[in-house]
Parts: sequence; structure tokens; C-alpha cells
Amino acid sequence: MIKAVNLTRKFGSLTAVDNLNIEIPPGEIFAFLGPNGAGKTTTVKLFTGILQPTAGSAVIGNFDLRKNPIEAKSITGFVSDQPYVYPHLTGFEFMRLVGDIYKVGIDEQKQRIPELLSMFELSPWAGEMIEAYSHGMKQKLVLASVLLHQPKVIFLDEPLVGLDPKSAKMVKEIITRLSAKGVAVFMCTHVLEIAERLAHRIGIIQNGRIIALGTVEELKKRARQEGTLEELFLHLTGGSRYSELLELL
Amino acid sequence: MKIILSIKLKSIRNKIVRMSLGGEIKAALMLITACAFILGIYAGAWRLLKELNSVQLIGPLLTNKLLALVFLTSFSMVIISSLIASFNTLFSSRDLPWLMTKPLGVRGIFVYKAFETIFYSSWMVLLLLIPFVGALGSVKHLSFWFYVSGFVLTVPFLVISGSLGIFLCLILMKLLPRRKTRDILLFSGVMFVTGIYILLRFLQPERLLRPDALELVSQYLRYLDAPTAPYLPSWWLTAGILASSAGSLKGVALNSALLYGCAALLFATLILFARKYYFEGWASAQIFGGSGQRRTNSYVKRMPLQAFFRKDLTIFFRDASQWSQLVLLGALIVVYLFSLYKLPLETLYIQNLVTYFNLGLIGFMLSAVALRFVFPSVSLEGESLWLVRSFPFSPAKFIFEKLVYGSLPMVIFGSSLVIFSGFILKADMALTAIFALAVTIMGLGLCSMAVGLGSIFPKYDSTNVSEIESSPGGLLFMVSALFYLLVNMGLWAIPIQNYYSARNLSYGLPWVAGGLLAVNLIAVVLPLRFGLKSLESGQR
Repeated sequence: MIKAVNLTRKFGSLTAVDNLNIEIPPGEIFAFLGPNGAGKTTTVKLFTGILQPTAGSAVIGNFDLRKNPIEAKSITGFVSDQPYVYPHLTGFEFMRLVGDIYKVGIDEQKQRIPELLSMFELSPWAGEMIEAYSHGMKQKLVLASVLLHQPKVIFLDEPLVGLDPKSAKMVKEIITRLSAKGVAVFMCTHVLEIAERLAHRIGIIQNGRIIALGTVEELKKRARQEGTLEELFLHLTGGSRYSELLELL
Repeated sequence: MKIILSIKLKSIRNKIVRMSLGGEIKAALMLITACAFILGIYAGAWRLLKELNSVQLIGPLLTNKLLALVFLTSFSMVIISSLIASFNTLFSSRDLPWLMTKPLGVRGIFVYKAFETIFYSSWMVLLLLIPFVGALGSVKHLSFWFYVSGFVLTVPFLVISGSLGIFLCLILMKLLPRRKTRDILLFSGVMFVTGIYILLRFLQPERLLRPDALELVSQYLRYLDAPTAPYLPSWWLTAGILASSAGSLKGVALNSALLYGCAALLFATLILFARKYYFEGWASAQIFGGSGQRRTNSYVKRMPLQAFFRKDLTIFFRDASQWSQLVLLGALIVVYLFSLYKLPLETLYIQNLVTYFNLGLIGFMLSAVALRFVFPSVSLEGESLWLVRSFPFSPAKFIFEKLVYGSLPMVIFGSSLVIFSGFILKADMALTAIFALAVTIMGLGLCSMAVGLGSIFPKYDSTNVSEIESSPGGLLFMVSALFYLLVNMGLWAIPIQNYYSARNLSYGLPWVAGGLLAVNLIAVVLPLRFGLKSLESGQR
């Protein structure tokens, strides 16, 4: 459902994503981990058509994003880590805009928009301009809008940032349900506990290259490392070295 | 203050040092364009001042009066511009929440932001004043000392006008901290300025510039010799520059003292005022309460493009800083038509000339409208651009939507002006129809240039329309638009002259039509193509 073939993106002399090759089948929850600046968000931007690759290709469904961007985007949903949306639209108007752009039928919109707004507890705010929303409310609105057109692939970049515990729990349940319905979920997160609990497979990226790929168990076995995913992550990305520096504090 | 300033300077230095080849080419192009613009203003001002100065007896008086009017206009322009800009720089700037949490001191932050506001609101005026004052010095064969004193006098003048705008903004924020109220007030302010402008125009001040309109010559001479608004800093600047041109060191020193004293006093008062009210105002501006206005939910069926168009329209009418400009535009049209009505069209020659130049002036107004409303439309997508890019919506469709959004009102506005002014000028019906067609084509050309250049030189990090339109890209648009108008006017001159001299439009028409087609194709296709490429390259 999601496929990267030698996917590369350079910014001048910096290679943000270096020869990435991965394939994610329908229904899989894939957690994409890595330190800050490793290339996670750039990869998501390449898969969602926000950036164009320098080399290689990104495929969603059967559509190459370079050749058939509209078709690929039509079956994709994307929640950015910074949910900036038009501040002078109301929540309802934003949902309608997304519905019309994704060509969701009017009857379906009539039914699903109130449902989704209510599910994310945004109904009382639906008539207010988005500039009055908190970060978490904007995040929930974007999540609601992504579910409106029932995508086959969802990209979530730090989906739980800014959410209250109740909403965070609901989002985790939504992810599991979507996966059960055959939706491929590609999730960038720094919350390793969520990755460990929800993801079928995990990919760890560092300096634009995948340094580990597989289930949690497979990764632990390969790294000959026992313990939590956090320990494994620190072992693979060299984070454990900081413990010596912490002594200086 | 020093630390914050160093952040800004380092950001600028990093931008310059790490500029890509494309960026260097863009910067070079803009520099050339800016130089050409300044030279153009200089040439125009030089010609005008030379003409005025050569008028026997009253020539120097006319020049002085013009200088005073230019400075008075600049004074009010900087105040209004600073008032509008300071809402953004002082209260909604994105770096403020970060700066406020640092142990920097609110006073330091305010001073830095105040200087930033003064810079943003006055650099364009300064760019116009430099060639104007330069031309004056050249016409009057003045020494280097004149230019130095001109600069020394202008700096406090801009600080005073900018500070007054900031003062007004602080007062408004103190009295009406909630955004909606402020929007209404901003609109009322614009209405007020517009009203005064229209009123002044209807008083027909041009009568005073025509000696035959006054009963006595002595009255006319007294008017010319009298100071224009003597208690305002614009007059102190005028008097200082006039003293400098006459070589009077005493006059320069006196007016410099007035200007610097006033600037220092005003800025010190501003800091004192800000110490008490700035933080409070900023903090309340961060609270977005519910508007209390419930909007109805509608499920009308729309195509994706229609939905996007509707989105742009909704946002436009909800952003007071945008639509309040429409009121000013309305005033401009009323004043323009009134001026046409009052023109003494005594001979057929003058009537023809005015009808022809009317086309150019309407084109110029369309350029200003395109710069204000169409050029920023791509930049205003701003931080929501990630959303647009992830939509199943091609960049070509995006550009097309922006083109439709801009060109529809432009074409309607332009052709209505042609028809109304044609009626006032009692122009030939056939000619009015041809001019309406010409303005329609010009409207499309200008709109394409605005959308194209707006996509090539976007400012996604700004929500301030004044900042976007005064960016180097905006300047490039304005210069290109003027050049485009000039070429168009040149081409239209041939058939129109033939029509007036021989009632024959067809002479040389294939050449003119070919030229117009070529120019307009270039104006439409090139910017849109490069704009599309820039959007597709997806560098963000």
C-alpha cells in the first residue's frame, strides 16, 4: 500500500532521506522512529506529495506520486505535526472544504461531519473560527478532517502532541480500528511506548538512512539487546552515550 | 535590545551567506529592478521640478509648495502604514511568545519591535523621497552638503511619523484589546481617513494652483509663500531642506533641533507609555475568545475548485485588514471620477489626450489593486500550505483558482471605470468599447503577473499584507507592471491617434494587434509558468 523505492531527497549538500526502500502492506501500523533531524518528517512529506524526491519514487496504492499525484493523494490522509489550518474559517467550514476537495458526496458529508465533530468533542466549537482553537483542538480538527474521506493510507506525524489524555486514548483506538479495516498507518512518533504497543513493525531512521527495520522482537534479536524499545532505540542511535554527559549536570 | 538586534542581523547575514545560485540571481534581479525604479522616479521628479523651477517669478515658490505637499503626504502615509503594521509587529509577530519568555525585558523587546515597525512603514516612502530630494538638489545645482543635511533631517521625520502610528496602535490596544472590536475600529479609522480625503478633494484645492481661479494675484502669492501645516514635522523637514538649499546653516540647525527634539521626546514618551501598557496589550491579544457569532452550516454541493474559491472569499471578508482597503479603493475611484468630471476639456485635442491617458491611469490603478489583493494571495496560504500540497489538487489548479479569484474583480473594476469615465469624458462609444476590451486584457495580464510573481517570490512566513506587498517580489511586480502598461499604452497609441485624426482604426492594426498579442501572451504565460514551476519544485 505504501512503497518507497530508492527514495532520496537532498537539500543542497544535505541528504535528508538517503536511498530509502520500504513497503507497508494494507492494515499495517508502521512506526517510524528516529532522533530529531533524522529525516522522518521529510519522508512523510515525500509520501504525501508535499515535497518531490530528488531520486527514486514514492508509491501509494498503485499510484506513483510523481506520475499520478492526484490519484495517490485522493486515497491518503495526512496529519502534520504542526496543525496550521486557515484561522479565519470555522471548524465546520474547514470540514466542508476538505469534504468538497476530496469529492465526498453531500449526503455522506451531512452524515459524517457532525459525527466526526462530535466524536472529537468539537461540536460546540464548530461555528467558531479556528483562530480561537487551542493547539489540541486544531490537532483534533485535522484528525477529524482526515477521517472524512475514508483514506486507505494515513500518515501521522506526531499525532498525539497537544492532545489531552482522553483524546490521546481515542486516537490510539482509532489507529487500531483503522488498521483492522485494512488502512495502512504510517506514524512518526517520539513516544516509544505507543510505537511498542501499537505498531506491527518499526523502522528507525538516522541521518536519512534506515538503520533498523522489523518487529520489536526482530529488532531486539538483531541488536542482541534485551529490555525496552527505548533502550534498543538509544543503543541503535547512540543515545546511550549521553549518560556520561549527564554526569556533568 | 542588543541581543534581539543581533538575532535579526545574524538571520539576514545567514540568508545572504547561504544564498543558492537561484537566490543570488533573484537578488540581483531585484536589485537591478529597484535601481531602475529609483532612477525612474528620479527622472520623473527631475523633469517636473525643472519645469516648475523654470516658471518665471513664482517657479521657486511652486517648487517649495510641492516639496511641502510631498512631505505632508509622506507624513500621513507613514503614520497610517505604521498604525497598520504595528498591530502585526508589536502584537501578533510570531517571535514574540518566544521573546517574552526570555529574560530580556519587555522594554527592550518593545524598542526593537518599534524600530522594526518604523522601518517597515517608512522604507518605501524613503525609497520615493531619496530620488525626489536628489532631483531637487540636481535641478538647483546644490552641493554635497545639501544631500547630507537632507538625510539627517529625514531620519527623525520618519521616526516621528512611525512613532505616532505606534502610539495610536497602543492606545487602540489599550482601549479595545479584543480582536473583533479592533477590526471594527480599524475599519472605522479607514472610513474616517477616506471621508477626509474625499472631502478635501471635493474642496478642489487645484483651484488654488490656478492663478485665474483667485481674484487677486497677491492672494495667490500669499498662498504659495505660506507654510503648509507649520506645526507639523513635515513642515520642519520642508523648512530644513529649503534652508539647506539656501545655504542657511542656522535654518538647518533650528529645524534639525525641532525634528530630533520632537523625535526623542515622542519616542521617550512612547517607551514610558509602553512600559505601562504594552505587555498588558500583547497578553490580551493572545486570548481568542469566542466571537459569539454563530455561523450557519450549509451543505451546498460544490466542485473542489469552487470550494477553494469560496474559502478564499470567506477569508478575505473576515480579515478586516484586507477588506478595509476596499473602502480606500472606493474613495480613490470617487475622487478619480470627480477629478475627471472637473477637468477643463475645452478643446477636442485635450479631450482626446485625456481619454487616452485615462486608459493608462486605469491600468495604473489596476496594478495597485493587483499588488494589494492578488500578489499576496499565494503567500497568504502561509502555514496552511502543507494542507494545500497534501490535497488531491494540482498546483496548476491552485494557480488557476488564484487567477480566477483575482481577475474577476479586476476585470469588472477596470471595465466599469472605463465605462463611467467614458461617459464623463463624453468619449466615443466605439472607443469606450475598445478601451473596455483593452482594460479587460490588461486586467488579465496584470493578474497573471501578480499571481505568477507572487508564487515565485512568496513570503509564507508573513500574514501582514503590507509586508508581503512591500517585499522585493512586490517591488518587482510593480516595476514589471509599469513596464507592461507602458508597452501596452505605446501600442494602443497608434490606432487611437488614427481614429482621432482620420476616424480610421484599421491603419496599422495588424501590427498593433500582433504586438498586443505578443506582449500579453508574454505577460500571461511567462509569470504563470515560472510560478507553477516554483510551486511544483516544492522547496518548502
